[in-house]
Amino acid sequence: MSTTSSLLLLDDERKAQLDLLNKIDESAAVDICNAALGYLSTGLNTKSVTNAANHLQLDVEIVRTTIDSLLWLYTECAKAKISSDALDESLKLLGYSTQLRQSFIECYQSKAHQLQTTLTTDLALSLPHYKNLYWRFDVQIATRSMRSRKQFDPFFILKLTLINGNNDKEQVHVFQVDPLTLVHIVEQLELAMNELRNNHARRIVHTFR
Amino acid sequence: MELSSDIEEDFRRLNNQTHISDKNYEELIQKIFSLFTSTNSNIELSSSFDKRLVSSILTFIFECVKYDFDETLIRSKFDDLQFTIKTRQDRFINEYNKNLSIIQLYLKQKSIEYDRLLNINWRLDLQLKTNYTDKLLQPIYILDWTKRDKYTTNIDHIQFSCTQESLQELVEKLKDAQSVLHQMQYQQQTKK
Repeated sequence: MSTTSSLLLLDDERKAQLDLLNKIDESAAVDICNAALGYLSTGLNTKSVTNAANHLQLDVEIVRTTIDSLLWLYTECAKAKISSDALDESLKLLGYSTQLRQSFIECYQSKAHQLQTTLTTDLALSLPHYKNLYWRFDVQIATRSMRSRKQFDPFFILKLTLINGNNDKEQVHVFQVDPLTLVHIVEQLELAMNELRNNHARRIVHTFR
Repeated sequence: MELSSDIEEDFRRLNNQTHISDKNYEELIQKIFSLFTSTNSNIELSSSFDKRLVSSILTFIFECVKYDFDETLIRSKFDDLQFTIKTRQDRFINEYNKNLSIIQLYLKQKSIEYDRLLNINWRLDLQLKTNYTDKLLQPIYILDWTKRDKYTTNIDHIQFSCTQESLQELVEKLKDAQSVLHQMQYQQQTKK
């Protein structure tokens, strides 16, 4: 499949699988589109697929492959972040009626955001990422090895929580940081933040948009 | 300060000029105090001082620093220990004062430690595509925090990613922390 001109171009095998919706009653086709959308979050329900196949007097395997293809189609739409117009045009290429196209687009749009989020965050390759940071400011004034009155050492304690990319487990790190290092770190991170606002970054974002 | 009877006995030995010559005493003091300023932690002495004597003097030094003893207190302690030779006392106190700040630092470090954050490094990437998304265009920061593991000299790295929003949150929190320093500075100045 490619996304030339933002249209979804399907290979012949997919087209053949999705062609079933042209051959059955329009309202039944809409029902199948709706059911397929439900299966995206719940997984395929073999029993209801069998029931639907019996009701339509069709082979179970054929209904099943059609639903699989519909699931694939929903996912591809989300992956390409397709616009409604482009989706409508793409569905025309499949020979779908106006009402069926409209129903499919409505179905897709109701779940588009959720699908896109799942694809970009849950399924994508993910490094450990930042979750939270707590800090505390302490002054060390006495220790077992030195009880002199001269101790006065200010420092920060940072507790950094990260989340592992793939298993959602938390990693907790506790550090001691002296004040000068903290100032240096803040300076560096502010530089990092500003980097995204400069012309170079903007130009590159613009190029890929 | 409480010292064991072995240490008390060793200080009486230090007071015995026939047992320890001036030359040997000089070398002993010099070598012991040099421990704090050199990276070499072995003492090699020309004469056959036993290790116990060295450890007794070191213990005495640490106890003095620990309880913040000044010259008067040290002299009175020496007198209690019957270590009374004035020149030898002077020699000790001279070296003690010279090295005091470094010994204090050394003892402060012999405390409970956390991992210590030393530095950070950052990188800014633009995520364009993944196998599940064709059009992403999302900036992502990769941070690398360098830390020294507690009680060791091991340097370790922690790498993680941050979205633009979460980096903003992280920086705000660290700036909050940093503002404590300004407040403290201000309070100090107004008190003066």
